Amino acid sequence: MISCLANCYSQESKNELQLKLGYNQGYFKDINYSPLNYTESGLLVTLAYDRTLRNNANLHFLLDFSSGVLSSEVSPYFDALPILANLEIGYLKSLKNTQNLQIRGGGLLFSKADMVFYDDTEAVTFTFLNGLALASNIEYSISAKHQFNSGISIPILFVLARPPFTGWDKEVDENADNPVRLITDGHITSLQDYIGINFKLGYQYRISERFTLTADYQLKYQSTEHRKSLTSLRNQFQIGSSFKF
Amino acid sequence: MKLRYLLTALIIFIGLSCEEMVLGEEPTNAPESNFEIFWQDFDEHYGLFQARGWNWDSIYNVYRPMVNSQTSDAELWSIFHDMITYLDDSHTFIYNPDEDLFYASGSEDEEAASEVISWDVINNHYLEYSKDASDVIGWKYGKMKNSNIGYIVLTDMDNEDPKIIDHILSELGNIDALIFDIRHNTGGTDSFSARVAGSFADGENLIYSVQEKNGPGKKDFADKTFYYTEPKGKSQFTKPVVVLTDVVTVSAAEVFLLHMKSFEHVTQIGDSTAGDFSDTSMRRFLPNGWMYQYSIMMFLQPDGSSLDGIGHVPDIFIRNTEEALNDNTDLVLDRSLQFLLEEYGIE
Repeated sequence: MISCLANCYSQESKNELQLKLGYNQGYFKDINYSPLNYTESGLLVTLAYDRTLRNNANLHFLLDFSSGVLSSEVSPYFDALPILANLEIGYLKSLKNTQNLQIRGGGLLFSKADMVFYDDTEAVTFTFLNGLALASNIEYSISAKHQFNSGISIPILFVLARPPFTGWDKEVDENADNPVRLITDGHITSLQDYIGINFKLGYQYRISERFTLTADYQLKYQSTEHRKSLTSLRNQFQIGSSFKF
Repeated sequence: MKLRYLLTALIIFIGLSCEEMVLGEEPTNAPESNFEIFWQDFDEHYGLFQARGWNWDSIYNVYRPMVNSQTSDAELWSIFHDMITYLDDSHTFIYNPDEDLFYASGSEDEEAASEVISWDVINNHYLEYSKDASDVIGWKYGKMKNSNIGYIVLTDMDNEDPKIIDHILSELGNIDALIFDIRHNTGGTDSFSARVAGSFADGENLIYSVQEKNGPGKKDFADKTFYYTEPKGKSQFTKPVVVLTDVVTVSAAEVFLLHMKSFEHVTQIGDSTAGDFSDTSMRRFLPNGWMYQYSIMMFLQPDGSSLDGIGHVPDIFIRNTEEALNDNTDLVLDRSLQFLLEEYGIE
């Protein structure tokens, strides 16, 4: 969820477009799906747009998607398809703005779909989350070309949708072709039902007025006991570039 | 210096992210552990203990003492086999992909094994013509010889657009009656069944309710969801319909029959159906690499009774025999034609 990057290099360029590709490695356990521990690996792609507003506030759009394989040490026959999609729109107000340091804080509206499919739909689990997250990020410029940034976001109020007690029911079955219905078919809740932490650490190397190379590490953790226990942690490494205009 | 701190923090984060620290310990792959997970999962999620009157605790008491750390895979397979045999529910199975072993509860049913049918006999000796409704195997239709009776066979309730039924009825034209053959129909999706039946509906009838398990207790079920017949398509075929069934007819095919038997103009001829209505669970996974699946809901008729384990009892019972088929005779079809003649004067 954290991808609000610096635009302090260029006062003239208010817009920044980023494309990042990377590798996702994670751990997954969802008792609704299986009692076993799983590891996850796959590719990750992120597209983001940031616009610097008056008072150095930041308007932020992000879409990321990852998929790969979810595997268990128990059996190669248990390999499944994980899919993670995330959309967010955020507004971060400038809290501190010095020559080298920029601190922002604000909120994100987000929609996250975290799904696993085994053998097409022979086994399925999902966590759909739509709501509001608190977010903050820090940008620290070492020099005109080098910058480090870090950020964190925590969902605080959201609609959480998880599979039914039996993992699957008539409602899921009859709405399998209606993803919007399934994604929003949850209840409004907060931290008592779901803990999610997204932490990012990034580095940027400015190669020209408009182009910047980026390298990011993100840690995404989620845990819920709603219906049945789910825990996942993802380490995501990405490189990419941004274009300011 | 600050850069060094940041990199150190990053390495610590990644290093700390080891699997067991994050997820907790995985269940051990020991016979006792596999048994406990298997039994417990059924105990909490299986939806038909109440409807069928099964005592799952007694299964634990019988089989748990047979399992210890020395129990072999073959012995454990045999124990699981016997445990689900008790349930007599074809929606319940165990599967060992390493050895390619599969066993579905009730698959040893002698009655099911004795049900015989021959499409060649039907095609060559009963039908004036037959057509495939599409490239998808499963839908065939035609007309009975020397009569104005249509014939449709459907071997599953999936893999095709159910609205094709309207096209088939249109192609059959102005027939006097229809024989709808769902013998050996292995099921599919209930919504498919409902849509096909909608083309024969004579109104909106309450036909069944569904309750899914929603908690670990034996009586933890969600509120009832009610299902009704509903006329579908431009017009509905409300002339006499005979639906042919056998004990292989199962699941969504039985749901199809729930719809059809609520219509005044429909008669069931053949054998009782399998009696397995519930939807199945997601595939389940065990630490020893095996998988399994089970039923997760109760189907109840409007009067609160369950047909699970019983099936649809036909209005007219008759079963094919090998001898008759060898004589190019389908006894169930013959009885259906006789019924249409006697009851409606249609030949």
